[in-house]
Amino acid sequence: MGAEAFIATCRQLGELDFSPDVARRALAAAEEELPVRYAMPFPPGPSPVFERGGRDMHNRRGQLHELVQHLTDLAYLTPSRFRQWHEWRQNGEGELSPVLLDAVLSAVGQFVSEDDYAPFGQVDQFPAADRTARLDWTERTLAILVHRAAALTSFDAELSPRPSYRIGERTAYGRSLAFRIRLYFHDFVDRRTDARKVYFDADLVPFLHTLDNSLGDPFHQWLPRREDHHLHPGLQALLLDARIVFEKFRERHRFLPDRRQPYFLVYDLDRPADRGADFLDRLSRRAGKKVAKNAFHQDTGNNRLGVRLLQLCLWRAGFYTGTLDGLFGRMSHDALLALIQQEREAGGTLKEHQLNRVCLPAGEGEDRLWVVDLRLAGMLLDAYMPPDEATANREEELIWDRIRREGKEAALDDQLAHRREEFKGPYGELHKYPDRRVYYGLRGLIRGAFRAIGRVVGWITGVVDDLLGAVFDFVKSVVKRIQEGIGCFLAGFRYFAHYLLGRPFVSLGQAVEGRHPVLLTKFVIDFDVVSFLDTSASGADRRAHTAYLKRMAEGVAFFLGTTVDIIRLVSKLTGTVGWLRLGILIARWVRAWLRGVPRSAAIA
Amino acid sequence: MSENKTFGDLINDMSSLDVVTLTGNLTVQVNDVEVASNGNDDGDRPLRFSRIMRELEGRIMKRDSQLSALAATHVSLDKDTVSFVRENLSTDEAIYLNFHNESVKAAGIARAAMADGIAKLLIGNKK
Repeated sequence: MGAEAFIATCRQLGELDFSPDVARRALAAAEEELPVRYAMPFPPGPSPVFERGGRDMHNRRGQLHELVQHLTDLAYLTPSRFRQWHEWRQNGEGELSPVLLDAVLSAVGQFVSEDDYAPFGQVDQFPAADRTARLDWTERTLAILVHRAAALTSFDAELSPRPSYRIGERTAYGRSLAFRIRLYFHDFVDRRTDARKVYFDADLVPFLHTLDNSLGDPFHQWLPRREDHHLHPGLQALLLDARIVFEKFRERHRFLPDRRQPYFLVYDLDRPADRGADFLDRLSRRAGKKVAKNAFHQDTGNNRLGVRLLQLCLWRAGFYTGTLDGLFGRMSHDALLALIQQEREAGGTLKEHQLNRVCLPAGEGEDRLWVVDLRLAGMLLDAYMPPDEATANREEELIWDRIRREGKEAALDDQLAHRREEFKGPYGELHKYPDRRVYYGLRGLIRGAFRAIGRVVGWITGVVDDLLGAVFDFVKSVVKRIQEGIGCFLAGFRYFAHYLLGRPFVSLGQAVEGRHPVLLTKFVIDFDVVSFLDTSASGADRRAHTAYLKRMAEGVAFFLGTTVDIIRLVSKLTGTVGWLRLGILIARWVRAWLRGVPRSAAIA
Repeated sequence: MSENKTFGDLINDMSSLDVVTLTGNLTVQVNDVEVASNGNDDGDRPLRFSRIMRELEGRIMKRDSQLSALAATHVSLDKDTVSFVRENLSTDEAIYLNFHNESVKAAGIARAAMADGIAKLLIGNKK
């Protein structure tokens, strides 16, 4: 079945044609074709993602890895558990230890109980006990969980400040604020303990004063005093949006894009310059004189914060995949060079002679340092700042237009799943370096890919090997889209199949002499319900089947509504649409809806 | 709209809810009803629903079928409810009634969502 046949089937469902033939095609599409196309299993019941081999489940697994990273950052999981998770991942994702599995599931339960995100209130409650039921719940709501947790750890202003927030409140939002303070100040430097500040509370307020001071005291009037219970929304916004921090740092040190005054950061790295042209040597000597004249030091608060902000920006732009520790080592350095190189090819922001001055070695021998002109680097990075949602959608369209114009859409459809292996390198050995982080901000990823579409097309055709930067951003944005959109659709389609297409709910009871009693319930479109119970089914079997029906009934309105909306959306598509493009369009609707846009508006 | 059913038929059908609970003998060996999603005999093994259904339907059709209706409940749109329960239930069979009653509750919740889903599809159709 091609994407167009799937669209035609959705059109028939949209016309209320639930005849056996249409139902058969719809089930085949959702349960067989889509899982293969999108490398994402259709959830047949509790609970395949954790317990199976996972060969054809890259996307769901990827989503789980993302969720575990976010839950660790929000301190629902300890760094030790995060390390164990990566060891399991590194060892081929075989059977997950019950202890680790329970820790992850408990973290999910605690997260949901502490957060007031509206969709969590619309699905059935997270099961109080029973590992199987918890797994099933986690898998069904995975796309929603990841979306929300990603927003809580994003530095792209994915969340709005909360005027009612009280310092010390034990909520997911309180954890989110604490995470940001930890990241700006100390969390990933020489960590030898799992002990962390979990919630933002009075103990962390002094760090806000320090941050404000580093930025030139622009938020003085908003800083909380000892007796205050509320945190000014302006300060919350500062923590939620790294762009504001960078802007204020820029203002404080007056290296604004429209001025000529440079601002230098220095870092120590034993690495020779890649190019030795005369003019670069001259620039390097000049930089060395400046360093000597101005006595730049690495160990000043300003240099440390500047380096950390640069590293954070490179991470968000898809060039840096290391630890956010403010230590500018080899990976950070290479990320900066990759940015310069990509911009050299993309053109636009800086002229060649400016690009040459962004990062230079200075001094000789043991005194050698690297000098970054943060005014120039910041101008480059400004082009990678996440745009608003509408702009991101438009840029995404332009990326796909370009790929279509080049005649590469079909090739990409076929290649993407196979070429995922190429990206293992940039992710690194996470079990050895568990404090490394992968950036998941979608709008930033789209912007990064858009910034150098030529590289993306070159990668599809096999002439570009450089992964960091635009290519990395593009693949991650596509995969993330697919995970979110198709994940939601498949989770909901399970309900659609059961309630509108007549797929029976089947439970197998405990085996007696190798044979399992069958318990079965079938809902029919005209609301008739037939249940069948084998007479050898035990009380426990019946209770399990009843609990299964009850659980599914509690979530039915939410999931069925989502899937029906997606089917309506797909049924309206016209023209040639490939599988990936279809996945992106579904995902765009899902994202709008997860962000709180009413369903009808998201469809329009 | 399906050729087999008019929209009027569908509306009429949807105006009531019938819940039937059957008991009988149907056990399976898991190997019989599992299938690898990739067509090979390894990897993932979702249950093969169609085979279970075929077996069940085959037994219903047999003259000497051991299947029997334990209870049936009819709920009309105005919530009037009529229930049928087989006479002379044994103690073992009586405990199935709880299951049946739970099914009626679940069906009631599902009906609202199903109707809502159909209505949404219908609205999209009219736009």
